[in-house]
Amino acid sequence: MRGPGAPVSPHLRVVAVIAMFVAAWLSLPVRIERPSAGPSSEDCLTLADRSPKGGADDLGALERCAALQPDDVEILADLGSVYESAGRPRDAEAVYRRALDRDSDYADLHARLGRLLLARGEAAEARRHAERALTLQPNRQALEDLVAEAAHQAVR
Amino acid sequence: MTGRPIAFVTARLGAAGVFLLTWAYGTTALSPFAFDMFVKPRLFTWLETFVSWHHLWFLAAALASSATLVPLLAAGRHQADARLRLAWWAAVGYVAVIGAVSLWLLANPRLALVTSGRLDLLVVPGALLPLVWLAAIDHLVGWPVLVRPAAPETAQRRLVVTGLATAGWLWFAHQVRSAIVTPGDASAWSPMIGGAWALALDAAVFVAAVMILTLVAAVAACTRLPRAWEYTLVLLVGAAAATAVVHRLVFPPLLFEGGAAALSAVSLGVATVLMVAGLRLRTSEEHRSDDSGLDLLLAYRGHPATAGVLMVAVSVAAAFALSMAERIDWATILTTLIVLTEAVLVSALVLGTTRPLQVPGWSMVWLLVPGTAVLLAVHAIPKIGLASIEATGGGGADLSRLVDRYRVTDPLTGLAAAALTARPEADPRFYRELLDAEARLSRLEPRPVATQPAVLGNTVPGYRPYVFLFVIDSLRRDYLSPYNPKVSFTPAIDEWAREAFVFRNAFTQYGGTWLSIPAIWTGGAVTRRWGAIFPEINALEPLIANAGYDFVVNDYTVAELFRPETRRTFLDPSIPSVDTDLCRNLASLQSHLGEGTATGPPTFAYLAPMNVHILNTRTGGGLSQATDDGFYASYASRLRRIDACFGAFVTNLKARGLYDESIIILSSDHGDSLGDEGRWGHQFYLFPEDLRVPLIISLPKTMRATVTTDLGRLAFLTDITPSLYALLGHSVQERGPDFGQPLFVPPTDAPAPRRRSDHLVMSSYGSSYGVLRRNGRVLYIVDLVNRREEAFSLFREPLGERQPPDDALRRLGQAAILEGLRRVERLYDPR
Repeated sequence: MRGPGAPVSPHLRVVAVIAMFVAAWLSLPVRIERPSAGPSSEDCLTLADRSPKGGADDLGALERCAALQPDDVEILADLGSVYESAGRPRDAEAVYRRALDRDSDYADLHARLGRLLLARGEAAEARRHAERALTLQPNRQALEDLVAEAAHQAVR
Repeated sequence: MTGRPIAFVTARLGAAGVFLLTWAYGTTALSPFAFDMFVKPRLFTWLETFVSWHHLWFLAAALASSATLVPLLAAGRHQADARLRLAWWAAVGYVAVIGAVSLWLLANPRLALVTSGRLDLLVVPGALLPLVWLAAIDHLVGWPVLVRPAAPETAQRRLVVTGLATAGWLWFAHQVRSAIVTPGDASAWSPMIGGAWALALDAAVFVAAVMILTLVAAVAACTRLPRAWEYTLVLLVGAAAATAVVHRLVFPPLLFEGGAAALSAVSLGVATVLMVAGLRLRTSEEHRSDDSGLDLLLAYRGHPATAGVLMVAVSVAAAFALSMAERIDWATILTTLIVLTEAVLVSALVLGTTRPLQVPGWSMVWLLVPGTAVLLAVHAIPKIGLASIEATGGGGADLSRLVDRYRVTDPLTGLAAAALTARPEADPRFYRELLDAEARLSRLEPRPVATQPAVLGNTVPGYRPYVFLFVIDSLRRDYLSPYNPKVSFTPAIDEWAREAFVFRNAFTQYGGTWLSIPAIWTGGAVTRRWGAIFPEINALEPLIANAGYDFVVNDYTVAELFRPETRRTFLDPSIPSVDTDLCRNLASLQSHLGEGTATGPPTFAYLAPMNVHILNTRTGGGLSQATDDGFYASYASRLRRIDACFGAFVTNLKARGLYDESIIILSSDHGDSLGDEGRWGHQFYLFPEDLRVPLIISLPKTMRATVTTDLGRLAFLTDITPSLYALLGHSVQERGPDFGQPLFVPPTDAPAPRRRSDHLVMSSYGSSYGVLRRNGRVLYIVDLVNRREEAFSLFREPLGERQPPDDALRRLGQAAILEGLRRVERLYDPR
């Protein structure tokens, strides 16, 4: 038997090198593990794509997805809208605030939150949100009306 | 038989430079993309000069290379050795043929006639024929050295020590450079783990090379002429490696593929390796008797101490070259070539110093242990690293981040990592489909489609404001005060923006000028062959012509393709593209406005200056020269200058009473990577800093109160043209997801949101694609060449944050990319 330090013939060298390449071929490439990126589901991503309009099924799905993907502003916007339709303004307000914490340039949500606050008599804060919406959508008639209404109510 | 070696080498290298540059120009012309991008815009004036005077350069190269043959020719043809007689005849033939070609070129300069997409065999591979011919002569002259009896193959211990020592040295040099000049972010990986794995990867490269050379030496040892066989086999391996580097690493980013690419790569690989081998044989006539074939080709022949000094010099020079190249090296082509050259030179120096190990005898230990150890280390180190990070409560360690970092900080390790690792997201089916979609789109001969967002009547609009559209190449959104309060160097733009509409969420859909600028003019999606149909799909030019504007332009991307009947004034036509300067353009524009009459038509001006393009900012140093606030100093200082010019222009408009009659649009065709995570440039990237753009629009006084918009809405550069149509009073129609939309609507309306739709983004030049979702707050990108996928959440200013893409986002993003490409294909090929 040939010892580890003994001379090796050229033919055996060829065999050994080929064996090394086969071993490398079989063991490579090194697989890169993907880190977990937090829970997410395709259903939730597509749910917000189709903008659900309400109903018990939609509400349940939106609540589940809002918990699963708290950063998805569209899911929060949809959830707030469904809460409003279901007569749950406090819940709607809470999710609108969460959404605006994430995306403060969302004019429509500022307006929706402003209207909710105005309905609840929080005129000063409603005005701030309406004005922010108007800054993002300058001259927009509906927002000018909202600002005027909030200002009027605040004076009263 | 070389006469004076220094003069011989200088003449040969000088001539080789001319032949190689001729080949490079011909190859560039074979890639329509590369020709249109780098040659047509006259980016490099020295290249223009070379092409114009190529016939004289070629004559000089012919004379210089022929002069190196004088000693051989002077020896006469009556020599005892048949090979020397053959060499003499080959030299005579060389002088005669290359002399005739030189004279013919003097009468018929050819290189300037080489045009995009046409294979000219006289240039590729013809330009390299002289190198092969000279190498053949050199080998005929040097043949006795090769066939010297009893010359050995390279010894085993020498090969192993050379490989490992070279790997160790390069690893050390690159670690030092990386620590000095690049940022240290690599997620949770410690420098120790990252460094250890880099060492294992570098060692793997050189152990693989040692194994190949071991095979070569073993085959050579089985023959009667081991030196000659080893020499020949190493030549073949070298030529194959050089060909592979050019074909696999250099050509793909230039979109150069197919038979012409293969021919071009093979010709370069063979010619350069033969040339170097021939020079080595001719310039080292005093060979040692124990020189192996590898020694003849590669080994340094000087003193070991000198070799040590030279190793330091080579690595310092490489580090310097890397720092220069990385700012213009959009696809890491230059940086890769630099580190590979460094690796070859260091190998040669180390090989020269390991001659004492040139002793006979091969053992199984030396054969198996290094390879096995390196293989184990490559596998084990990341696992140990991950385990230790988790054990210490760390998280978020992502091996792909480490691999990406190597690509930027240490291209050699990056190459090894890319070759030896596989990413889980590399779904073969998706990449095959994407590759197919890209190939179909690349081959597509686009048909003209109707792109105008409104039907233009024959009557001139009642109110025609002046329009000033400034698309500043590579202007970054976060380097402007209206978008970033930390910016102090754009006060004039800041002041102007206070009374303008600042679109906070604007993007280009195309990384790079090549597609971004035509998309602005088209107002919609374009293919890479947009040039063939641009006159038909250009939607902005008909608006300008219809309104009877005094059209003023400075642009090197689309202006050449404007319709001949559209009257226009090209500002500063003598300034090459790369030197276009907003300050100079604005001064010329002001002069032009001064020449107009009160009753003449208003002006529509379009300027696309390159003040802050990386070709101009690259000279300004790296992150170490950033301003106190972390801005890239070279970029910021140029921006400060053009900000002042912009401010002066606005003041001038106000003084003329034109400001309140003007639409002014300030934007850019794309952003730029300015050392962000070690990246530079924009051509092949789709990272947030490349895709986010500034978009600021001021309107005439009478218009301001009559429109509304949504400044937080996802806006695209393709919205500019429909917006101008709408502002000039045309009734704009909704054209679908491949077209832009007006940014301004009547105050009673709301701009259509883009919160629920996906939008394709793609690189102008490289194989990078992506999708913008959720009002541009989610970006998912795919690098087809490197099989990499990344995702960003763009809520946080200025550039968002990287988030590993989860499976759901990957599936949706991949489907959206494929659908987006199919839509563009259907748009331009309705069959």
